[in-house]
Amino acid sequence: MNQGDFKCQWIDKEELWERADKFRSEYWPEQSLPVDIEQIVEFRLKLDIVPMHNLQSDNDMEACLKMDLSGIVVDYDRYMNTKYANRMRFSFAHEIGHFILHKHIYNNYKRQIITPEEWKNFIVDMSDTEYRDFEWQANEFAGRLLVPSDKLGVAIGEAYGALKADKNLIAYLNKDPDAVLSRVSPQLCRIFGVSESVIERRVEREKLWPPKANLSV
Amino acid sequence: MFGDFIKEKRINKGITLREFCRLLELDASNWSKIERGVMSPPQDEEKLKQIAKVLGIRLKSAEWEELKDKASIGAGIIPPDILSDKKTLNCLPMFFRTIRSEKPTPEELDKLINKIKRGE
Repeated sequence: MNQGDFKCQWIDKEELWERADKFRSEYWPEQSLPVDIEQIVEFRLKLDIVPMHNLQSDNDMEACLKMDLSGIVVDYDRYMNTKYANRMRFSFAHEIGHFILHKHIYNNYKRQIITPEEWKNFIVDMSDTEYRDFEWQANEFAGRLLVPSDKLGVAIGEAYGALKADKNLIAYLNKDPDAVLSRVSPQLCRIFGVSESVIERRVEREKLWPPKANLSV
Repeated sequence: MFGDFIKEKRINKGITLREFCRLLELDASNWSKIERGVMSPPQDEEKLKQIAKVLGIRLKSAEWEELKDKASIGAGIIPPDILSDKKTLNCLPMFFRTIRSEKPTPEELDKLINKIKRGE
């Protein structure tokens, strides 16, 4: 097995976004929000959900895609406890990202890795930068999958409409847009079923904040 | 098999694994194993009746008889003490969503291998 071949192929953000949008159109044609990621995993991709006790406490993992691509292993408590619902939804979307973007990597390497010990050595030897690139791509895919850009634009337009009623807030928006975003992000989180950090990441990546005066309301 | 039978009915009813286990007060980890055929289905008729009710299977119907038969046949499933290397490998991941966003340590990888080998 040649670790040198294990490279994360660069994918432009536009291509990542397009692939996430295409996936959502195909697997969530309802277009309702939040995207029901569990339904997509179980009913449409036909992947098993495999809850495992103490995966997070023992292994620091929330979720992972099985090497044979038959299912997603999840931490039992995170999966069952609604307190973590948003984070869990992102974890599923992240693993779908690996499933869609990196399936060829799984297929190439699962033929070359024969024993659990070889698997461990493979992971240990994997370059940290390559690992981070794969994870970054899966995160970007997941964010765009759960937060469609057009609908985020509309939601921000509506939030801006509400902000305009308060002149002080509009002044703050010009001085410190991040502070005002933290005020409106909880309502955006509810719409998309994601955490505030995901919303903040999306508006930054899609350059939607601070809202422009001409946004639709 | 019992697991495939139930899973198909559950999915056709649009009930996720999580919701199904909540409704029936089942351990989702064990139930996932039952659906994947690596653990014996319940034998208690009351539990089977509850399952049938959630799935919309009427008692005394042909489907109910099929459910009971499959549960009975599945009673012989004995999970292996230790999974083979190949089966363990199939369950291991290539990438991980970790809390600290870093690669797992070798110790964490060992723990994961052992956990999967023991069929947890």
